[in-house]
Amino acid sequence: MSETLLETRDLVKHFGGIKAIDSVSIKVMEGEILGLIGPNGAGKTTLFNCITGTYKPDGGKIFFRQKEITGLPSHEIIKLGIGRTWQIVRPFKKMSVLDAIATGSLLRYSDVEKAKEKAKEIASFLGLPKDILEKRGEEITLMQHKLVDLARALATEPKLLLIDEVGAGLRPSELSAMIDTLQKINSERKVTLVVVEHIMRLVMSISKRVIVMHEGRVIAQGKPEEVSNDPQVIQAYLGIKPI
Amino acid sequence: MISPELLLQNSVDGIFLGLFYSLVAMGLALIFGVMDIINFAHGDLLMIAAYFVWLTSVDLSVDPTVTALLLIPLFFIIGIGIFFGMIQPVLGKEPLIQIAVTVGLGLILQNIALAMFKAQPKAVPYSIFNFSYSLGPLTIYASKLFIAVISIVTMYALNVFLNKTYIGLAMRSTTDNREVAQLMGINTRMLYAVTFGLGVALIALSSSLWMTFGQVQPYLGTSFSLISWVIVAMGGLGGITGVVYSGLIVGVAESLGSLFLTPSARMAVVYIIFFLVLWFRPRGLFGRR
Amino acid sequence: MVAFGTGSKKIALELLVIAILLAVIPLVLMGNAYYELLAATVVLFSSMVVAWNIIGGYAGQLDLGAFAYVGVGGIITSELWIKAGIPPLLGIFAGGAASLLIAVIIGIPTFRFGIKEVWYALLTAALVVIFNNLSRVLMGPTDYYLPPKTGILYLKFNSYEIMYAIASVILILTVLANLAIERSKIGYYLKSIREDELAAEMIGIDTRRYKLYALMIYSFFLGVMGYIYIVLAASFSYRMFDSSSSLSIAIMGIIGGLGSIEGGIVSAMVLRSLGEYFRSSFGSTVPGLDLLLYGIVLVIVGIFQPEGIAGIINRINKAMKKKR
Repeated sequence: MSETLLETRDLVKHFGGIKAIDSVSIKVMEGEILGLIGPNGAGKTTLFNCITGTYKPDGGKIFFRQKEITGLPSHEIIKLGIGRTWQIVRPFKKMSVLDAIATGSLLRYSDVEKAKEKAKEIASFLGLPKDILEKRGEEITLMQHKLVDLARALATEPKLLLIDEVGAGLRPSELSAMIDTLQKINSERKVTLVVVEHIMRLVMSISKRVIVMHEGRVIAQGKPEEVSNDPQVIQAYLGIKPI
Repeated sequence: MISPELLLQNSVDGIFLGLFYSLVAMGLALIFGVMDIINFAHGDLLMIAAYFVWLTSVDLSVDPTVTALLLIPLFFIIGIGIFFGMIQPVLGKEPLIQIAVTVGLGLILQNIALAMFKAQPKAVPYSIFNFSYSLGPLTIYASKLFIAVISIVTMYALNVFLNKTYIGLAMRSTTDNREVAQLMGINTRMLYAVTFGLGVALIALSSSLWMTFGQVQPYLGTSFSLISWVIVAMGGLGGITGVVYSGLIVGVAESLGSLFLTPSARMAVVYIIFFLVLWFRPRGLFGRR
Repeated sequence: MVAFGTGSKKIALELLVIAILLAVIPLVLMGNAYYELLAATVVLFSSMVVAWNIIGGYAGQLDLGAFAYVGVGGIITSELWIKAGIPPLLGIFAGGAASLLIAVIIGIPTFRFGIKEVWYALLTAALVVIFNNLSRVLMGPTDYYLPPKTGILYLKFNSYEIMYAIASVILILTVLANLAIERSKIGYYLKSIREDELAAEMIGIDTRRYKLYALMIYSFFLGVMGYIYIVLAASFSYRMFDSSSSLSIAIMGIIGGLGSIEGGIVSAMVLRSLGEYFRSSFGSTVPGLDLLLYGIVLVIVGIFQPEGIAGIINRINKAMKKKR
């Protein structure tokens, strides 16, 4: 019933002699929250970068809503409805939070006042306190940054949001809040999420489905419980064969 | 119209010139590779060093080659000083500001020189290399040959340094991947300082060599800066070999160009080559990055 | 700056600019032709710095090629008058268009190939020199003069007071253009490009296109100003493509504070006036003192106060707020 929103077919990307991703074929179904996990260097961020057009793949194809997007420039891909957040936050330091989010809205609403209204709406949807809006990017906390990052990406009204290790550095209470926020984005705003994460608590609790990558390849796919018991996955993380 | 002997002569002179240009560009390439900073004041530092050489030759009757021995360590220290004074404070800041500081330095040096020495070119009155050999149809100028040889020797020594010493390897690995280098315990700050010092020391050496046959005036830096940028742009980060090949290309092109074009037209051609290289080979012709 | 509402800020800024201009008029009215010319030149330079702010302050590209555009625009406008009898009042638009065309020809490949930061700076610096050499070949070393006619049709008057007024109008128009940009989509997009180009791309911004827009607006304005520059200089030659002047514009923009209109104006007025003072007092004995000054201030600003004059004003504002 739900359609394939994003699909990669045999995607390949090298750097120098190293294959960062090797023949990766995945599907993201509309409406789901898909977890993407794997040890460091597995190629998760590279995959994100290929999807968003930051890297041009060396082989394979990418389809979004059945339309091929391989090799398109990033801004066009974003316009088609894909957004992303950053592993290491990338704030607009000297702009106010409101302006930063509004810049995202400007993609869909060319009028600055309208964009700002939309920005305020998103900020309150995500629970950002009103007094944050006037602060400059360099003046807010890490958790607030992550929310602003999310808000800015949401402002472009994506159908698919790629979330890159948003849990890093958060305290347990903040983590719970983030879990709720991500679920809210998915259910209330109907945004499909692909969540790259190292913090198992976050990714396993919100994902319906999980894909595991290791050394550039997909080694497992399935429900969170299935995947966490998969011997190959355990081996990849621990580096030893399970008994 | 143009005799083969003339062509040959110019080609040989071009090779010598190219080797010298490689040496001049080497300091810039090193700093750029390790620290990702293009020192706008590169040529102007050469100009200031050249004035030093001129002063010692006029006031103390010391030959440029001897001055070099003093100048190189002195400028190494000056380079470290400039690093800690001007570069390090801006390392974390916006790239535009980083560039701006070296632009400012260049302006300061140019105009101090202009104020102190005025605009007339100065030359060293006498050099021990005022002779030449004949080799068949070719004339080999001792000064040019000497410069070429010193350039080769220096670059060879630099190559050994970069490959065989700890500091050299540290520089190379930082060029390749700054973060990893830091994680491996390389003290980037000290490394940067030494790199900058080395880059400036190389400039001092080049200026001494230049003064064995050339002149200095306050705007000397501009043409050397341009040539160095072109070489670094073409050579990318292909290490020393990249810089040498690029330098040779520029040197031979300029030398052959002098047969057909006026000096200002030649400079314009170098600039146009610069544009083309930037547009079509942003990673340089020989680069790895 | 965020404390003002957008509407009132604009008005406040306008008033500030007009106030400064009015304050300088008494100087102008001193009847001293030298000061009148100086005032007109300083105001024109301020306009150039405010225009530079579009590419340097908003878009964050270190453009060192200002006088490539000033020169092209000025010379085209002048030649159209001299050779084709087209009055400069119309001709300046052709001049501006010519500069814009150059900017587009250079800008499209430059931004397409992702040339940024240092290499952009070097490329634009090289552009001025190329034009210098090219025009020297085309125009020869001679100085050219505008026809002796005066009047509003020719935007040329013997009275420097009127030229000062013209320059002031240009400054106000440039300021208005900046304000319009700042408050519009293009302004937000440019600022985010300057902040973080990659992040900007990830929210759907075609960074190349917007940088090109900034370059186009900047070059057009400079092209128009080029003619006024020639009127003030009383002649033109290949030497109009001057690297030091191009550098100076960028330097004044940085010292004023990237992105700050007021900062740029203050910086240009102070530095240019000081520079002129040095040149006239010491020019023969100690040449280059003005550029030396610019270099020193630039280094100091870069190291200690990279936000420039605007940053200092901000700090004072904040300090005053705390005291309340």
